[in-house]
Amino acid sequence: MAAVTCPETRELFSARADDALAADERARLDAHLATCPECAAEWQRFERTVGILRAVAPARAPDGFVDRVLAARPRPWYRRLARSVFVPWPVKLPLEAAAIVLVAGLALVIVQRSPELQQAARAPAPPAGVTAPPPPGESARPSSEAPVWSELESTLRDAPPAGKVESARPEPTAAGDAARSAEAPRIAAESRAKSADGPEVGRRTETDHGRDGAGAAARLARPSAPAPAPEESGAAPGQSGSPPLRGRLTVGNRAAAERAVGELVIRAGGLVVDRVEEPEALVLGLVVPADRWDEVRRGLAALGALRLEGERGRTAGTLVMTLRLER
Amino acid sequence: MREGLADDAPLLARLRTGEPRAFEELVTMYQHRVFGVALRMLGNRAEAEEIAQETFLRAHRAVGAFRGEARLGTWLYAIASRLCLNRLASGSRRHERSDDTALLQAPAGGPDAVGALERGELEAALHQAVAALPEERRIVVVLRDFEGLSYEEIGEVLGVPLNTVRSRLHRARLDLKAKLERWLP
Repeated sequence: MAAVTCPETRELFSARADDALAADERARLDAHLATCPECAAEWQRFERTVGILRAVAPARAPDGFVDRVLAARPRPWYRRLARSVFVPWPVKLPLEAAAIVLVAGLALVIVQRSPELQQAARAPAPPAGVTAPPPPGESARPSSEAPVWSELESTLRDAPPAGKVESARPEPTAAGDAARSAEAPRIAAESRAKSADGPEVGRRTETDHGRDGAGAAARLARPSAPAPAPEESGAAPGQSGSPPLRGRLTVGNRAAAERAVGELVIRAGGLVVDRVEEPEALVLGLVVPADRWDEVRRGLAALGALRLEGERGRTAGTLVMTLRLER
Repeated sequence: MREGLADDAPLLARLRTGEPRAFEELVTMYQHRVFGVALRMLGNRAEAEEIAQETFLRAHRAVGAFRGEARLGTWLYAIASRLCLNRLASGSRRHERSDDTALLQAPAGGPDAVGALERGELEAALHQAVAALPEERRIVVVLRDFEGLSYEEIGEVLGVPLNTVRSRLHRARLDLKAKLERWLP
């Protein structure tokens, strides 16, 4: 067995500490340590160092480490898909609501910043002369006929939106009144056509007059069968250019007569569209299907002394009438 | 070492099928060892947990490609060691080495028991001595003396020959012996 030197001996310390030497190597090393005090002391210090290292307490992962790793682990694709589809409602609803609000807000911002979109969103302006509302104060004029007709016209007309009122309306001259009167039947016919598409006229009359407006307007909007085109019939007010029919009814009790007239007109499928109280009379604006006019006229005659002006033979379309109730 | 491969086979098979419970078992089984390597290498608990977590996540992603020629523990040690060495070499560490001497707790008693004060001083000295080791030597000491891996396992973890393992280990122990001279007889 060959002897080993001190440097060779010390190179084997690690293997000796790990018990990784072959039997013969270990025997030579032990023999050298037994005869070399310096190497023996060095070996003791080396062995002690390794002992300190190995005596260190093992490390422990912090609490919750496993859970954190599992939470950070990417989920399989099918679990991610299922989670995206089946998100619990308490989570999904607020998210969807927030998305709706966000989209609505974006749309509002886009519309506000796009003048073209704003114009497109507005209702198209009716032709000049038809869209113009009465000037301020005209409807309050205490006339017995013109204000009634004006109100009727504005009632039947599909008023333009605020801010879009035409300013070039002519002054209320006699010629102007006549022109408006001539146009009124056509407007009424237009309102009938519009009411067939939607509840605009009916809703307005109901609001303005508080009567059975919705039903009456619906009945009024129903074309008189068979309803010829207003231009062809030449009888419907506003189409023929004739002024409205005027009537005077002398009664003993004006209030009772007013109720009776209203019931009569509504029963006939018409509508009381205006009411103006004057010192000497109560003026009602009536719209009556022309084919029911005879029935209405007989009913009015039964209420009191009836005098009619401008009555014409009409069998189709709508008849517009101002009726003065006098004592 | 090879005889342990059969022990790992059932767990490895379940891991390959993506069974969530199998991964949880793996983490539970190896969490302290992987964390210990990172802690002794980096000297900072927060950074050690970060590296340990990344080790398991990488294993989760790569288990399908793991051929099973090494033990699962060895494989995890290899991933953790590589992550630690890369972190130390990158120079972009967010956490500096902690002064927490409790990271290396000396035993309270033993054949060469010292008083509590001396034990605290020894822990501080050991902490500093380990931290002062070159990284390639430090990892060998950590794997051998703290984690108890064999030379062969260390060679496999680090991908170096056995002679390199022996050499680095011996040099590291000599460095430590020199720094701990005060507590040695």
